[in-house]
Amino acid sequence: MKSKVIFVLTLACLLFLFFPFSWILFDLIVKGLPVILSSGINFFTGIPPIPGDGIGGIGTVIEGSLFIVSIATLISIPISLLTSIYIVMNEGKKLSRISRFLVETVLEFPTIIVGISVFMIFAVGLGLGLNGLTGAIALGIIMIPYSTVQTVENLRQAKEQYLEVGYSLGLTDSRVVRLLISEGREGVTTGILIGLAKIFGETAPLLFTTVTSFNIYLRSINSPVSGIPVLIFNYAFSPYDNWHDVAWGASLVLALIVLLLFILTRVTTRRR
Amino acid sequence: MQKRILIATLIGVMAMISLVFSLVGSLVYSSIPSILALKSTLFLYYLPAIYGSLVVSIVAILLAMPLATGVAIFISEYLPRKIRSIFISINDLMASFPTIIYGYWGLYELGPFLNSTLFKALNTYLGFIPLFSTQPSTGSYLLASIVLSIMISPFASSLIREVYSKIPYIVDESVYALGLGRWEVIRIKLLYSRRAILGGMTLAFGRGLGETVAVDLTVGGAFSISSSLLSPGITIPALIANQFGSAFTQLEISSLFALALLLFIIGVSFTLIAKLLILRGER
Repeated sequence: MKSKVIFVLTLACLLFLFFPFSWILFDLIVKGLPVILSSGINFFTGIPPIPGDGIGGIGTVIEGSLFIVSIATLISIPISLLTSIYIVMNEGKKLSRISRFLVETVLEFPTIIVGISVFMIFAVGLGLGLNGLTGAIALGIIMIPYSTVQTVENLRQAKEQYLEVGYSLGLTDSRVVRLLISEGREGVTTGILIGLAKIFGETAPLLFTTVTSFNIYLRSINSPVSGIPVLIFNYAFSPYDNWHDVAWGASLVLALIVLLLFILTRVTTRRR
Repeated sequence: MQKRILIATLIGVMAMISLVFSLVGSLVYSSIPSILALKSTLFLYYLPAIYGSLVVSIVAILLAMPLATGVAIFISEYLPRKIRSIFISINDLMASFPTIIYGYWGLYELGPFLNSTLFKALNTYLGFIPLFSTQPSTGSYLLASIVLSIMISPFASSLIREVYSKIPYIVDESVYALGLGRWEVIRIKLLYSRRAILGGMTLAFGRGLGETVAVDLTVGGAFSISSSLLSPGITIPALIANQFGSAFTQLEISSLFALALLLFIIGVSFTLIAKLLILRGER
């Protein structure tokens, strides 16, 4: 009897948690897909509509997201890769433990705080101003711990398998590190993909590090640039129905990007 | 290690560490002027945001705790191996889904639905309790808490599941051998994983405190304090998101930094408590 009760209770928990998510996916398709279809290819290349008139497209923010996220990735990869190699190769040493702990703690920093701190340090302090680069720095900082934690985990497995083999073959340190990375490359890729999935959906860090504009294509590093999540956020607070429709379409696009990255991480982890 | 590699990797580590310290440093540095000028009135003035942050996160955790634990139990006890991995994947996808989409859906789908059903009923039948004493509004503490709990439960659940599913099968066998049923098995395994549950909840609480856009969209944005969970309010991250861009005076910006610092200190202490005291050696 009691066993049945706990079955029903836990099943109810599962349904309660998974039902809202199914509802979200359902809404994304039912409300987002018609919007995208009605605008066609223009939805991925065009400029957002004026209030109350048509759908247009979100080409500018797709471009902006890709631009900011790419630079953020370029910023974060060297730091997280080097840090993970250090942590894995020097396990047991104090600095290795400290950095690992620090990385895991930074992962929990509220992202809006990273946003305003980057605003203070880079936009104001170093005079970078508000642009795609400053936004990318904020996202890059957020990405570092996500990739590092994952990469450390995966490199450690490669280390257990290959470190002694490498040394017993008389390989030099640099060769051993190279071996580690090439054997753990899928782990490294997984780390980067997980970081990418995280920063693609980030809104808060971009609010105060970029000049929010949805109507201008990129001209230079200093042009106003914004991301897909920021468009959804701003349009959510607007009173215009057509902007809400655009936001549903943009949400679907964003969800598909994150889903794609998520599936890729599954593929790279499974192959190990 | 060879010097070259050591130096190269050390540069990476130093870059990471200096980034972290400059982030925290700028937070402290920028909030000093307002703390010196306003002292305790600063936090008194911003009390609605501090109150809102605590209320929304606490209610979200109260909702998430049974949900996350129940899901962890169901996935590891009742699902066959093949289906289990599918549900784990969906769970992980939910945990990494963009929070802005949760917020947007919460504002335009879940909110109106709950307002005309659950929230309305709570107000009509339980309105004499101060917690439900106001008419449902577009955004509210409770709506934000519910959306937040949906977002943080998958994360907490996978933390709990990791520990729960690692309990050796011999525990199950021993309990069954005593002639007891599944109920007792689960009870004993829950006892084993109580640290993971507590740790997962503490970490999730820290995450909830820092969540910005999803809460901003659903909490209503009213700068006031209300005992009713059905009335609109504001949280610290939401206030920063709404005000930082339009802050004109140095003092205003500095005050928002002081709030961010407060949020940071609360959030990081919860993370540290979870990592150093509760989850130590669990994973």
